[in-house]
Amino acid sequence: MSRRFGAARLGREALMLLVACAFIFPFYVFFTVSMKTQAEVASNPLGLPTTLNLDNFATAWDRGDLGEAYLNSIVVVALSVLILVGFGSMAAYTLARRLSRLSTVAYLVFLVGLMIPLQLGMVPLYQFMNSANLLGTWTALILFEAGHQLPFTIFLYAGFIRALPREYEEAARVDGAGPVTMFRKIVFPLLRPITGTVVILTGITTWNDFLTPLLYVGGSSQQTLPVAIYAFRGEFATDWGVLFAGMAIAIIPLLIVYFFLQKYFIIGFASGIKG
Amino acid sequence: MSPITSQSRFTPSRRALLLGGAGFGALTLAACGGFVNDDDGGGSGDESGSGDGGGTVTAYLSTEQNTGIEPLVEPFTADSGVELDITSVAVPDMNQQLAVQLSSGTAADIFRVSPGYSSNVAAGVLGSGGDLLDLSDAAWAASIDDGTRALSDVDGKTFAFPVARNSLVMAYNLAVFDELGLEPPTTWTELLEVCQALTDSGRTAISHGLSGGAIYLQFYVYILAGTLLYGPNPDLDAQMRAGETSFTDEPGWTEVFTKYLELRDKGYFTDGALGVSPDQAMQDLATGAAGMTVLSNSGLPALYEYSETGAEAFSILAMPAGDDADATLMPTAPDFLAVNAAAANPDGARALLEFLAEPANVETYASALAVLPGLDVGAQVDNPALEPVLPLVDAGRTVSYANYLWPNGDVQQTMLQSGQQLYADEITIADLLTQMDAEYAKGTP
Amino acid sequence: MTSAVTTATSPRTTGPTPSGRSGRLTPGGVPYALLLPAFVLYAMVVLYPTLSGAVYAFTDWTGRADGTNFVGWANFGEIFSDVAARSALRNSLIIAVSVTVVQTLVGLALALALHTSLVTRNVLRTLFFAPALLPPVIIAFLWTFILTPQGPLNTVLRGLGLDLLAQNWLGDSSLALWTVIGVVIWQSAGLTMVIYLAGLQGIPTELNESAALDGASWWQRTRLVTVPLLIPATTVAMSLTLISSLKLFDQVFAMTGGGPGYATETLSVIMYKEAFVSGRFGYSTAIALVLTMIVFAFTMVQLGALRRFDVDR
Repeated sequence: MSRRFGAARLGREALMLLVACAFIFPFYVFFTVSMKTQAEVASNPLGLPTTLNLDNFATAWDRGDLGEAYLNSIVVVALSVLILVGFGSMAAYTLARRLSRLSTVAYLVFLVGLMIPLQLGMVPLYQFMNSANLLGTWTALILFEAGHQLPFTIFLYAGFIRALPREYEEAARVDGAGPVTMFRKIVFPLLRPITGTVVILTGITTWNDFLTPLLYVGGSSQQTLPVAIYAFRGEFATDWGVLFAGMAIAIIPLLIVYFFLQKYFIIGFASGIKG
Repeated sequence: MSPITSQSRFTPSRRALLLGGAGFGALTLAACGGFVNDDDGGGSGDESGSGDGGGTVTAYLSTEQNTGIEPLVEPFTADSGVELDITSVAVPDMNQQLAVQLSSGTAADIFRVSPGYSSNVAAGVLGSGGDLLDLSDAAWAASIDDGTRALSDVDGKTFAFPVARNSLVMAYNLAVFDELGLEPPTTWTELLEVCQALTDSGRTAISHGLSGGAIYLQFYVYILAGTLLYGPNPDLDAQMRAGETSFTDEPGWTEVFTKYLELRDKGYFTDGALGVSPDQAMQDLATGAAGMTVLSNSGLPALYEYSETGAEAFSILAMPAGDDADATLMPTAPDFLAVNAAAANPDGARALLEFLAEPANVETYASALAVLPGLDVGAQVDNPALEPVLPLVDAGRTVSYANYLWPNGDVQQTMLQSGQQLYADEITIADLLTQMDAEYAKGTP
Repeated sequence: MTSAVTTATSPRTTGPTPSGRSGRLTPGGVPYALLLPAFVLYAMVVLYPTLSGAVYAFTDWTGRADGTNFVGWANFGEIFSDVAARSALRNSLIIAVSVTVVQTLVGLALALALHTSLVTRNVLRTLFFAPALLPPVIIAFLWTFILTPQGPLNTVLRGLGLDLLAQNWLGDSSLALWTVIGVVIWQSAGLTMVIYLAGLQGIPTELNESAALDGASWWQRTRLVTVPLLIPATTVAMSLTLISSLKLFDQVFAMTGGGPGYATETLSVIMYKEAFVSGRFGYSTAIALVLTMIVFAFTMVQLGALRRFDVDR
């Protein structure tokens, strides 16, 4: 029995390793290209870089002014996510706990937001931001990112809250807590696991968003990382080494954060999905 | 397993949250300038000062144009007192951005436009739509050559300024040519011979990458059409506009695509070109896996980067299309700037163009990018890379890219997409030309 | 139909939620005021722009101010006669169905494998999720490089003597769509995996143990115990996948531009091209509206089906 288990397990480990290769290989390409000169990319596309060459990273950092872009990205992501968590959890709480027709319709209205192609409202929203004199500011981006990811946030929160037993709220109400106090003191702390999920998923989306940030803050000193990095692309040719180095600078923090948050993150989904 | 029990096991440390919050707060305070729009903020045109003396000119340029103009920014400000506020974006993203900005009145004072009618934001399209300032009375307007004028003017009014000209050239790997003892071909027959020799040596004769939108397909069409169609008949565009002939009716168009496919059928192009990226095609030339490739000269610096020996490894030639070497024309394309009809600082924008038109500055710009000067003002450009084709330029043996005077961008788009089907033998040349005629007939939007 | 949506996402599983459905808060228990901030923001940056943008679907707007005319339903009629649009519609549906089905299965398989005591599971969880962290443009470039005819993948295949499998992955019009689908699944399978891993955490281990004692094999336990309990996770995973795959744009645009020919054109890609290459904003908006309705209809059908499955069990 234990021998069979050992063999089966070994087989499973081996199979997963094989699957892992399919996932590692593109990343291997990604990181090696970021350390190669263009000439080395051409002559030795697959091998390891012959020297540990960090020139591309330096070039990307300087030419893209990535220090400033980092600050911009962090501000935009942090505030967007803060708004999403705050507004989204409150809204989802209401939608999940009120069982009226109005609440159902409101939930549906938010859900439709998941389905609308961005392009539909692109020009009117741009004109709105312009008339509010917000182009070239973080504010425009934060409003956009937070507004557009509310449906997703509410979708996750509402599913979670519906699974949440009501005893705590009822006990708190007996103790005389008002709805707002109850949400803040009782409900929101219970939402922490799903909040972790919301933070990571909306954070990634905002961190990587490109087209709208380009439209709103492209060329200004408020531009975010992807906007700064994609500026390395040319019409007919792109220095992929520099572009990848810039992208690596941008995503390595995400990878590290994810690695350490993953347990918390998975629990978040778990509690949201299971009652 | 209620959420209560599972979450309590993984409650994040309160301290971490507090720390994060505090750090974030400090950050916000340190950089609160980004939340509101002060005047040195965004790049929208309606906020730059104007009138009083110099002010600021907002400019919306391609990445390449930005490189060319960089050495001229400070001299211009010193000379005119006008500040330049430049936003630069990669061309693939530009057209979308500019379209939205124009629709909302936020476009910069001066921006890049495509030549003729070749896109939604081309000089001809925007000029006839009233979006661009009429620049006919500028001193430099007289120095625009006729080929360029056809692409910058609408009804006798000049709407665009040529900062530079690019050309379509064939680059070849010198080491490979030396090894096989090949001479640069000057006629179609010689080209086929060189290709055969390269193929016999186990190499790809012409590296060709068509994945991701097939933008390189059009280059062969413009080169072949330039020499075979527009050379003998410079009035072709007028005739097509007047409906006297069409892609289908004009036998030259069939010849153009037949010759293109001949290169494919003889196995001279990269195997599986439809799945090869343009980057890969350039790399193959650099490593000597291929002997030749066609590209815009603005792509040459990138090609050089792919070789250890840089520019030394390559030379260029004007790709022949027929058997009279003296009849070969080289397609050239102006790279345009235009002034917003609603510019906040039109005088500053005009001053910038006048400054860029000075011969010394034309030279500086062209040298920075290793391209041909845009204006015919006698600028001497020292550019060894382009030397092999300069005699053609000096002799006026250039021709526009064929698509620039097609009435809309969709004709080109159809050629690129259905052209891939042609390359895969899913449709015939006649099918393709019929489709292009249909888009042509829709006229200018 | 509306009730299907609101309840499908709520877990109706065995969880002990005694007051879950019976406990009705007194009216006014949760004030609508809590909804207000979200609604104001949502109305401002999504609802209002979308509704005012939707009007353009009935015009011939070119993106510039001058000369916009109402053209009624003409733009919608054109969608069904436009070769590129029809091809895009077909491709979008193929992508949506195959990505949703395969990604769910792959994500489930990865989750089941990593829910065990593999030594490498923490690293693998990060690794399988990592592609979801990268922007699609970068993913597209990496795969274009790997899939090029003389590129790494074909080299490996030929090295293994599998010459027949070496293909022109992106250049063959009968294959390109499936290649794109594969890349999309590669990028997002980790997301589905994470959702399933979460679902698995919630399944009491006693259930599986007692089934094992009754002599049920691993496969029987998975099929009869685990998978049915994962219906709520499936609902979340499949809805998100379906919606994003129907709207697929970035990977296609960066990898194939819709080609070769029109083989990988999707609704989002032609929507973009019509607006920003051709300057036909009106027509592009009509396509966007049709896309929205398709996404809506598919999501409703899917949520309804999954809910029935869940209730029937």
